[in-house]
Amino acid sequence: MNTLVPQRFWRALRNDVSAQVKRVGFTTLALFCFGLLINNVNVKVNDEKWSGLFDGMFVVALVPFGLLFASLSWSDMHHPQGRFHYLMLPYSNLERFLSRFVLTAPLYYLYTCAVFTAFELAANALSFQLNGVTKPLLTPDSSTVRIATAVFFSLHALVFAGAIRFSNFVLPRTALTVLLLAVALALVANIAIHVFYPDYCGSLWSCNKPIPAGFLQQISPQTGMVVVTTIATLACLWVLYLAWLMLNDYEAQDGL
Amino acid sequence: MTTNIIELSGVEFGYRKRRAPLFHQLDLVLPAGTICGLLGTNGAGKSTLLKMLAGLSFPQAGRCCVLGHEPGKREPDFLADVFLLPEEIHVPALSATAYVERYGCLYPRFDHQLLGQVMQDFALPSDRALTTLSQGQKKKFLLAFGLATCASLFIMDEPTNGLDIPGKQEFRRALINHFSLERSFIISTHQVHDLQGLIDSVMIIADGRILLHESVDRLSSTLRVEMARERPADALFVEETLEGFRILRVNESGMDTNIDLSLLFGCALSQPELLQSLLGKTQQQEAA
Repeated sequence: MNTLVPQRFWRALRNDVSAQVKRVGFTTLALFCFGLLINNVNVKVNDEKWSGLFDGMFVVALVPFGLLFASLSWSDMHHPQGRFHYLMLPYSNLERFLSRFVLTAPLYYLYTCAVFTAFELAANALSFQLNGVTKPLLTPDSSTVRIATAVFFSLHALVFAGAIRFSNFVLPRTALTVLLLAVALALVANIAIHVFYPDYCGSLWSCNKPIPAGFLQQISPQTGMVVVTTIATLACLWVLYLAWLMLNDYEAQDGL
Repeated sequence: MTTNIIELSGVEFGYRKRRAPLFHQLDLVLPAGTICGLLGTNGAGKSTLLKMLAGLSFPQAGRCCVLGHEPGKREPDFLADVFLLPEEIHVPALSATAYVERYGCLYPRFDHQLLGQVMQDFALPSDRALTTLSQGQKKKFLLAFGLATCASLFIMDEPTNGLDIPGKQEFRRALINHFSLERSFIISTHQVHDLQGLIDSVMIIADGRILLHESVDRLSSTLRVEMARERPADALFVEETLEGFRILRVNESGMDTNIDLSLLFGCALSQPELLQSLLGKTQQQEAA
């Protein structure tokens, strides 16, 4: 049953957040302290060389840790005993799905941005006190933030689907599945090129003559970026739809 | 007027890994306000039936109606009116208070006073993490929580496993004290003595078939239990003990007697048709 009652959804989200507070809190604290340590050690060594340290730290906090968090988001559903508790909670499937998605994607993103801003300020204050130097703060419109955000939301959809599909080793199994699919798609594309454009093909991976400038070469980089972003967004939505179907299938595993 | 909380007709169910279906043309009707004991051998389909009633397994054919809902649809309103205590339990690393705060609000009729009372009866701490409690205490807590939800249907799979002797007594007391005609309990167990004097109807299931589903009153007026030194020839079922033989016989006295569930279970497995014909006769006599 896929109803969405705001009050129940809010309760589901609140409960999901409460269930993760301890895990996320301890990880944040550990990363915060570790980050302060690294920052001050490096500030002392060489300011210029490590000027992009905040960029790297933001990427690490958002992408690997965010994906790890998403990979654990359905662990209660796969727990041999815990799944009875999870499945008997009076929520609709849609409410469960949206609650976990909102928690692991937009909420996690906002949380990371907020905590990272606090970290930057604290790190700069500390390094100013100790060494008299500070680093430039990461700006929301910087290329690092934009690329990390795009990578996070794209990979999140895949990992989120993997977390529903796989009961354990979610990250490696999802990566392996994506790799196999990518190889399969590449093979299909290669075969299609050999079938539809035999004149251009020599051996399996080489061309007999250069491919003429086509549609892709003629479009501007700006338009190309819009096309790529649109395709990536649609692909993410499609993966999330697959994840939703897998969640429904999980509940009906012994049924019709 | 008595309403039925469970109506199953022509239900078919089989696990994907098994070839033979577990349930074939299963029919079942259970009125509201009953405490039903579900007995059966290992692999008979007890837990599967309970899962089907709770909306965790879906019938492949037939009609399954519980509390006016189709459990397979897993509507939140239905899930809020059913509580399942599974055989193997899992509790999060929360205190009882935090657990209730987090999940109690999902049940519209949740009774905090009743929870406090049952927890006090069970001598359960409310401030300790549930994961640090013993298995029996965890089960008692979930039992208390399940009672406090005031769900119309409370399904229990082996609820007395892991409970000590006082715990089993407290369990029986809690169910009796908090039973009402608006609620129904289904208790699946192998510990038949834990159900003695607690249930008002018995369901015996074997090989995916319901061999017997009868009220304890009718069983008491139809059958009686005796002790004998010699093995009698006319008994429905005989169990050998150190003192002699415990016998299940047709009750011809007309007086209600206490039914031994262990003997009844043995008889239902060994002579299901005979037992059903006897109970059918009693039903006809009552109707006449």
